[in-house]
Amino acid sequence: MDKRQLGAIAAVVLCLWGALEFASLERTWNAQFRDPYLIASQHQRFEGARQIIPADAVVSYLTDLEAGSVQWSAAFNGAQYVLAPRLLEDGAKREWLLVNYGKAADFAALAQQHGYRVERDFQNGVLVMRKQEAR
Amino acid sequence: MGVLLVVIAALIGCAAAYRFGGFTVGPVWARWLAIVGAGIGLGIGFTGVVFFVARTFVPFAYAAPIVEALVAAWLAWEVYRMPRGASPAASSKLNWTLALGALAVMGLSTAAFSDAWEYNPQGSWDAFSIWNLRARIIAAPEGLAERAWSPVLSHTHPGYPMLLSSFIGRGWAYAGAFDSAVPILTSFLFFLGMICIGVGALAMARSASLAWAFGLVLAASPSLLHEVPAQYADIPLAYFFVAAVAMMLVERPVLAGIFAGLATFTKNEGVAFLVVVAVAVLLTARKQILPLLAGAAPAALVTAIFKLVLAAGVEPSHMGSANTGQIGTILSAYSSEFLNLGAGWYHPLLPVAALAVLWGIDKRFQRPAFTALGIAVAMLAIYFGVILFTRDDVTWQLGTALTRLYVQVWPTALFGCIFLLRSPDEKSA
Repeated sequence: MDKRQLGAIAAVVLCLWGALEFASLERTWNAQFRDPYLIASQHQRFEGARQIIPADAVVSYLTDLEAGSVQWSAAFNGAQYVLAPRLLEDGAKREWLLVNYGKAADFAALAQQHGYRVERDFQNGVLVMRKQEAR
Repeated sequence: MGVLLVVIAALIGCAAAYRFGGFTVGPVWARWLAIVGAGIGLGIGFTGVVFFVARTFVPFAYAAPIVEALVAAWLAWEVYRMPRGASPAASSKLNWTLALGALAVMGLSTAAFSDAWEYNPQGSWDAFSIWNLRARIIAAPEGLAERAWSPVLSHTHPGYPMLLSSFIGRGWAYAGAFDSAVPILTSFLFFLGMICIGVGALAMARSASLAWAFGLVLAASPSLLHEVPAQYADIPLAYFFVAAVAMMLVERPVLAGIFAGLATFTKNEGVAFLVVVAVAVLLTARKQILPLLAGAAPAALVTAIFKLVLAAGVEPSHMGSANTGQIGTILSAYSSEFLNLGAGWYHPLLPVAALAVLWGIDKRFQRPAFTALGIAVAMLAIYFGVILFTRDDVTWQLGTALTRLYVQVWPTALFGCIFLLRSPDEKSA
């Protein structure tokens, strides 16, 4: 066998090894990280909110998750992704407010505290509120 | 429906590459690979830019599809009336070991993608928080395109260029549904496109064996492969980089310019790439500079309007004073990430090294090979400078971005490495 053939065979064997290594790593990675930020379930979680809030709204956003944490970012980005083209903004200044809580809370008091009324409670920590003066 | 729309975009590009690409040298299979490879980028680039411009500036929902239909009809007419049989095909013995090996490796890699497509159809973090989020916004029928670069999105880089998001948004808007197959197929087509254009160009400029060696090694590059199902803009950018360099080296400067121009509207790094390519052309092939700049102008103009007018000031500058105390950390990360381009004990430079040892180096091709390698190294040097001056946490920046920066330039660097090899199909110098 001359060097030309040997080179081709060596390259093919090495690359097959590389592809198998990649396939093995990819399988492990995907088994370990199946939708790690739960994006798929956000569609169902926010479907009701999507129906109520106008598409051109900029929506305030409140959550009980720790600000700056990966959980906070994942929940915020997941909600933003599903609700686009509505834009989410941290805080409670806009006419519309999306509440995205992980735990049960006194949402009536929360609405009162920020000057909103509950428009709809979806019973899973997701509520849509609206400024009390808005119609 | 979304899949069909992606394929239609690629076909429009293929018709343009077939009619105007000038791929009339080399073996027939190489011409077709170059046409498909170039066509994918041309089609996605053209339809993405048209959709962005129409959604942003034209208050008429059907403007973009009408432009696409007119251009598709014109290209069909041009292809129909194109003279045929003018250039006889060059005879080239196909290296079946390498060609079948490349196809087998591509098959294995694609099979591995299927896990990611099934388990994470939404892609990775930046896909749903940046690229596909903005695609959903620009796809919305309510004329809210400008929200894709609203300062309210300050947490997800509203100033990033819009080509990928616009193209995905186009598929979703026309199909009327947010089909995850659209971003999945788009990313895969860019991967396929970089293999096709690299193999086609190397077969035209050098030989069939070197061409398939490029395809083989690229399809077995673990870090690059891992980014394909992630649905980030790094794979499209890597495609535009290698496509521009490949077209530059086979003396298709207009096409090289078009791809470099489209790179500017894909990611911020594309702007630096256009400058680097222009400098490389000035240094190595001065006559190509005007056609290159003419090719780059349309997409670069759209990028300039986007960055300087539409999205001006939406994102604070990430540049600050030099992190001189972190130079050691950055250099260390550069070397460790280079090693991490592989998987396990495998590194994609191993097959290249084996070929260099067994086939040798051909010094006649130092100039084009070093041009490609020089462009890749210049891009890495620019990234080094950006990380050195970043206001963000350097360790975080290195941990989240460096692998992808390597992925962007790896196909171009590999193209240069393979270009330098002695071909077993050619008579030695």
